[in-house]
Amino acid sequence: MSTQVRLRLLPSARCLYDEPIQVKVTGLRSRQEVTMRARSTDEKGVVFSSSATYRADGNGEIDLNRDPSTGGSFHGVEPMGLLWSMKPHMLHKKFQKSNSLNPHVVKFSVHEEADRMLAEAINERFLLGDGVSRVPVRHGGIRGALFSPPGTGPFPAVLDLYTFGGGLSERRAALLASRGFLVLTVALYGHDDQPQNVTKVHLEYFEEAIDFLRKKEQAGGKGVGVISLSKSGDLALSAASYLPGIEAAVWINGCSANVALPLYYKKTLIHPPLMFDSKKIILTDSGAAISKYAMHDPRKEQYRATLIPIEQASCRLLFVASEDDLNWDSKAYMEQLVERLKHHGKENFERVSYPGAGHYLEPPYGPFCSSSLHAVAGRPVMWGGEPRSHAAAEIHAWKKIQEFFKTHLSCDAAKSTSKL
Amino acid sequence: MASSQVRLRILPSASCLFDKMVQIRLEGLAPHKSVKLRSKLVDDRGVTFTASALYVSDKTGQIDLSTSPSLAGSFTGVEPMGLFWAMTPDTPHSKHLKKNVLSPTSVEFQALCEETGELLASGTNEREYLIEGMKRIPVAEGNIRGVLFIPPGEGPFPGIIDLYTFGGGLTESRASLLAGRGFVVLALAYYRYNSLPKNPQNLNLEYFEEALTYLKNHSEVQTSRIGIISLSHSGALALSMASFFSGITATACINGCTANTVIPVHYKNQVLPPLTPVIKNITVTDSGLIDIRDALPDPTLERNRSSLIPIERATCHFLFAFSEDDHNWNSSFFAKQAASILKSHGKESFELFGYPKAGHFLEVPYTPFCPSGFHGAVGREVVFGGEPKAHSEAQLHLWEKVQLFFKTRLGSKNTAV
Repeated sequence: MSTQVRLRLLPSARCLYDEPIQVKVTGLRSRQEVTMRARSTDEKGVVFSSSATYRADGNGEIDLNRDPSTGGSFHGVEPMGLLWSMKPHMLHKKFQKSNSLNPHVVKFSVHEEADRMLAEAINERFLLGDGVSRVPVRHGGIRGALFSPPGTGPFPAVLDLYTFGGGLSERRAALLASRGFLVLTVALYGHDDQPQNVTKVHLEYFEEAIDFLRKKEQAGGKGVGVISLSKSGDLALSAASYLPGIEAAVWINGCSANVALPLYYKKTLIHPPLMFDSKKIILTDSGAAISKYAMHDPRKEQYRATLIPIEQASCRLLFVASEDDLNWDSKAYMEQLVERLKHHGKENFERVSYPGAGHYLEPPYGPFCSSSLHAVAGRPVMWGGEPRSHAAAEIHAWKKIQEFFKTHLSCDAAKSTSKL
Repeated sequence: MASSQVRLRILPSASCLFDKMVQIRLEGLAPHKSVKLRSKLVDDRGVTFTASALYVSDKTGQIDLSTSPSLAGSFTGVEPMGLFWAMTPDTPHSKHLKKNVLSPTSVEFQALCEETGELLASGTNEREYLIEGMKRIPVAEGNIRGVLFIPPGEGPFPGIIDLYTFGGGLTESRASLLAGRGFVVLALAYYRYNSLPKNPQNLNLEYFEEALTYLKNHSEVQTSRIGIISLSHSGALALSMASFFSGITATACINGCTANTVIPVHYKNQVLPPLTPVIKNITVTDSGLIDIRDALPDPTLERNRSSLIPIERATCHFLFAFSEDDHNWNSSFFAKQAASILKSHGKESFELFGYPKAGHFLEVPYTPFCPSGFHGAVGREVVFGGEPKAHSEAQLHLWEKVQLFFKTRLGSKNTAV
C-alpha cells in the first residue's frame, strides 16, 4: 500500500499570524492529483474555507512554495494562497479576529478524489509573540489594551487607532508589539463601559491616550507613532495636526477630510463631518453597495471646513493607499494630502499605493474580504481589490509600516529625567 | 371570563426582604387557560432583566407557582421562584447591579392570555434590603470609605466586614441583608468609590487594618467578635487580613483564590504580587467569549510562591465555599488547596462547601444568574460558568450556611427572622 501521507507545516505548526509557513505534503503517489483545503472559524462562528488542486511530483511530494495550484480558490504558485483566499460560507462576512489572547487557527487538509481526507495539520497563528504582555487599560477615559514586548525596554511607542465600528480590535496592536513596539490600542465606543454609539469624536481622548503612552516606563523616544485605518485615518491626521507628542503617523486608506462624525476638542467644534450622498451609492446584484463615488468632494467650497490642515503636522507622515478601494477613493485623497503639503512647502511625508488592493489593508495572511457590513452605512458594501494583489500589498505594507516607525520614532537607550 | 376578575397575588406580602421566597398565585381565571407569566426588573445601571413562563390554570381557575409546573419559557417544571432566578438581561453579558439599598428592587409581574396577548392581571413585588429600625450609615472615617449597617435593638453586636468583587465601587445588598440577621456589617469599598483612588497601582493592607480597627472600636460592636465575608477577588484580601491581623474570629471566602491576583498588595515592607496568568491556557468558547478558568497557575509552585497568602498564620475559623463550574478561575482547586494548607499546619477549623454546576457569582438568593460579563482584568467578556437552576439552589444553600457560620462563630443578637 502507499506510504503514510503526511501534511507538514514548516518550520512549525505554531507561528505568528504575520509569518509565512511552508506547506508540504509527502507520501502521495507519483503525480497524484489532490485537493488542498484550509478552513477556519472566526470569533462570530462564521466558517471560512479555501481549496486548490495540486499535482504531486515524481516523488509523491507537494511543496506549496514551489508548486502551482491548477485550480480552485487561486491559480499558480502561491505559498500562502490557501490562507488569504479563504472565503466565508455566508455572504458579506469579514473574518472577525479582534481578541489577541488566542491564536488564529487554520486547519489544512489534503484530499483525494471523492473528497477522502488523506492528512491534515493544524496551524496556530499567534497574535501575541513569546513574552509579549497584554494589559487591559481603563485609565481616565481611555478604554483599550496595552501590549509590551518582552524586557524592560525602552521601546518605540505606537498608538493604534484601528477600529471605527465599535469595540476593541487587538490583532494589529498585538502583532506590532510582537515586532518590538510598545502599543496602546484604544476603542472609540462600545467597549467596556463606553456607550454603544457616539455622535461625535473628542480629540482630547487621543491626547489623553498619547499622554498615557508617553509616560509609560517602557516607552522610549520623544514622541509616539500613530497608526490608523479607514475612518481613523482622518483622526490620525487631526491628531498629527493639532496634538503634541506625535513623531510619526501612518494613514491607511483614510480620507483627507474629517468624515462621518463631527470632531470636537472639549467644547469646541474643530471639523464638521464630511458625509455622503446616498443617491450616488451603486447597488450590485449581490446586495452589497459601492460607496466609492458617494462621498461629497471636500475641496468644494461648502465642505472645505472638513479638510484637515495637515501642513500643521510636524511629524513624519506615511500615506498608504489602495488603488482599487471601493469604500472611497483613497488614492485621490492621498493625492489631495500630498498636494496640500507640497503647496505649503512641506516635505515630511512618504507615500505608497497598491494596484489591485482593496480597502482593508491589514497585517498579512488574513482571509481576503470582498464585501461585508459597513459600520456607518449599516449595510454590506464592496471593499474592492483582487485577492492576490491585495495579499501581496498587505505583505509589503506591513514591512513598510514597521520600517517607517523604526526609522522615524526616536528611541533612546535610557529614559531621561524629563519624563515625569 | 372578564379579566377584571383575574387577580395576581404575591404572598404572604407584596413587600418582602430580597432573600425571601414569595408565593405567586393567579386567581379568577377560566379553567385550563394558558397564561404567560412575565417578570421584569430594571437594575441600577438601567439594564432590564426579564423572565417568562407558560402555565395552565387548574379546574378552579388558579395557578399557584408553588405547585403548578411551567410548561415552557425561561424554565420548566415547578419552580416557585423561577421567575426571579431565571431572569436574563436585555443587554447581553450584564451583571445585575444594585447600588442603592435604600430603595427596594421592584419586580413587576404580568399575566397575559397566551392566545390573545391580553393583559389579565399584574402586580409588583417590592424586595427590600433594610429591616425596620436598621440604620444605614455612610462611613468616611480617616481613610476608610464604605457603608455601615446597624441592626435594630440593643447592641453591641458581632461585627462583619463585607468585601465584594473586583471592579471597585461598593455593593451593599449582601451587607444590608446580613445585618438584618443581627450583625453590624461594614460594606467596605477600597477603590473607585468616593475619594478612593480610581485605578490604584497597589492596595495597602494598612487600609483594611484601619477598617478592622474602626469596626472593633465601634460602640455598637463586640470587639472580640469580628468576621469577614468575601467573594471572588476580595478573597485574597480577606485571607491576607486573617493571616496578618489579630482579632478576626471568622472568615468566609466564596469562590476566592489562595493567592493574590491582579493588583499587588502591600503591607509594611512586604509585597504580595499578583499571580501571573498563563495566557496559553486561555480559551475561547463557541460563542466567542473568553474562558479564563485555567489562566491562573498553582500558587504553591516555587515561582508563584510570593503570591501565596500565608493562611497558616491565621487563627480564625474559616468557611470556604466554591462553585465546581466556576470559570473565572478554578475555585474548587483553590478552596481545596486552602483546606489542605490549613490541615498540614494542624489547623482543622474550617468548613468546605462545593456546589456542582454553580458559577462564579454566588450572591444573595434570587439575584439574577450572571453567566457572562465584561471582566475588567481581562478587558473582554468572559464566561463565568454555572447553570441557572443549580446556581440559584447553591445561592440558597450557601446563604443559610454563611448565616449559620457567623452565628455559631460570632454569636448573634438576632431579633429578625
